[in-house]
Amino acid sequence: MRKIVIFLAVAFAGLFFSSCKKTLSDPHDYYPKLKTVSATVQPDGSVTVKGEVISEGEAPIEYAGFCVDTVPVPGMAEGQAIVDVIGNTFEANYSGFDIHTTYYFRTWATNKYGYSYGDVIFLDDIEAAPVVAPCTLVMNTVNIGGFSPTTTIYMASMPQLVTTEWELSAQSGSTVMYFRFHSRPRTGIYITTTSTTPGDGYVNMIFYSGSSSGALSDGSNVYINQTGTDSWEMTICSAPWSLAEFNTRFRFPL
Amino acid sequence: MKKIFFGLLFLFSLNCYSQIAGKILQVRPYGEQAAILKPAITGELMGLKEFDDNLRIRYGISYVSFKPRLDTFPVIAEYFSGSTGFAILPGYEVITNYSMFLAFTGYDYDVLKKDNYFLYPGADILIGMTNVEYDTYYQTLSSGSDSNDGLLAGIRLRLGFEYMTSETIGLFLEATHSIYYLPHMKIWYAHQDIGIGVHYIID
Repeated sequence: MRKIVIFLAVAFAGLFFSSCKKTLSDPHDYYPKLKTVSATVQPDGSVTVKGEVISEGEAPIEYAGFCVDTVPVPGMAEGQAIVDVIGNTFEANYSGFDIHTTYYFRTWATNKYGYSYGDVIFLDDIEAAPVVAPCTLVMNTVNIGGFSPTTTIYMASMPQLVTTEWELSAQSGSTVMYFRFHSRPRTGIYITTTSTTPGDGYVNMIFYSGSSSGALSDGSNVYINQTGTDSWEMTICSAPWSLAEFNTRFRFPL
Repeated sequence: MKKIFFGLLFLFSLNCYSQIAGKILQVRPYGEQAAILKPAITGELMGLKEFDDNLRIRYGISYVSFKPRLDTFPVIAEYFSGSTGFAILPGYEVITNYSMFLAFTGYDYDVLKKDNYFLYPGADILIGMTNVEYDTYYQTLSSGSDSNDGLLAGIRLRLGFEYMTSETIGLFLEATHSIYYLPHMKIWYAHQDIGIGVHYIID
């Protein structure tokens, strides 16, 4: 019995004194501590957000990421990006911003005790660097190539979401054009595709002109500059279709 | 819970060998519980015999009501849907009640006895119940109130010091470390306590 009791006493002493310092005085110290380091606009109009883990808290990080919203204190689920932490830093890339809107970015991370946020960084007027088309065309004109004359565009619609694609149309005296995008157009160089369900960065374009009709072949550049929240300018230079080369430059909506 | 508490109290009072002790103690949650619960002040009522051939038995009961360290605890839910994919949803948890009832029995062994002083390690077997009530909210997913009740069983190791101020009254100081298993949660928890008490021996 004596040996058992002494063993228990030693075990007790070990447990008691080895664990005395393990309760953190501030309960928030159990959660990760984070810093939202930067939010930088890239030339294509996307934003790279960087975060830093200052402290993991009392347990390893399980998930980390960013949230973004147009309200000053974004919640974790808004525009959520889940990323890997490399070393003690992590980053994500966001795109598809509206011009003249303020966006708020915030880091977050979780461990087994819960989650915490970093500070908030905001950006105004997120805008891509303008793209410059290699041709100089008269504004609001279209020419489908061959022997067709250049005509003046008198109507161009606002892009609208139709089912899953964003569509717009433009019309001159002789030509009607239909454009289909994967997402709302923004400043950048898009690539033509014959697919009617274009991926991000691609555009499908078909047209009707008199008795002719066609679709721009795969692989041509379409230059789009977003000039306002709801205004754009598009230029297409010598884009081939089955019979000729297509040129246009116009503002939309018009 | 209160019926069990007072029932056991009644049983112990009937069979206390005329040697009783009361202890006021500070219970300090340990490990994961330390992140969410504040230390609690509570009491123990026990039957505590005199040392006989270096050994004495004790048995008793205790009831602890813990307070949470934060008003709301940030919690998350992992969520997957076919349309939006995998997401982490933020939420919070509010602990409205966290209490523990313990019954124990064990032995002390006086390793050092000098005049009226005793130094003793000891060990107890613990059985008891926990009652946890909480409100939860997960953004866009769920919200509500829930409770988590269950049994616990474990051991408690002790180091104590007692001074007999007279033939019938002793004052003691004890520190303990308790480890116990909660089968309904399949988890081990622990806490420590430090307390002072009075030991009354009625001849």
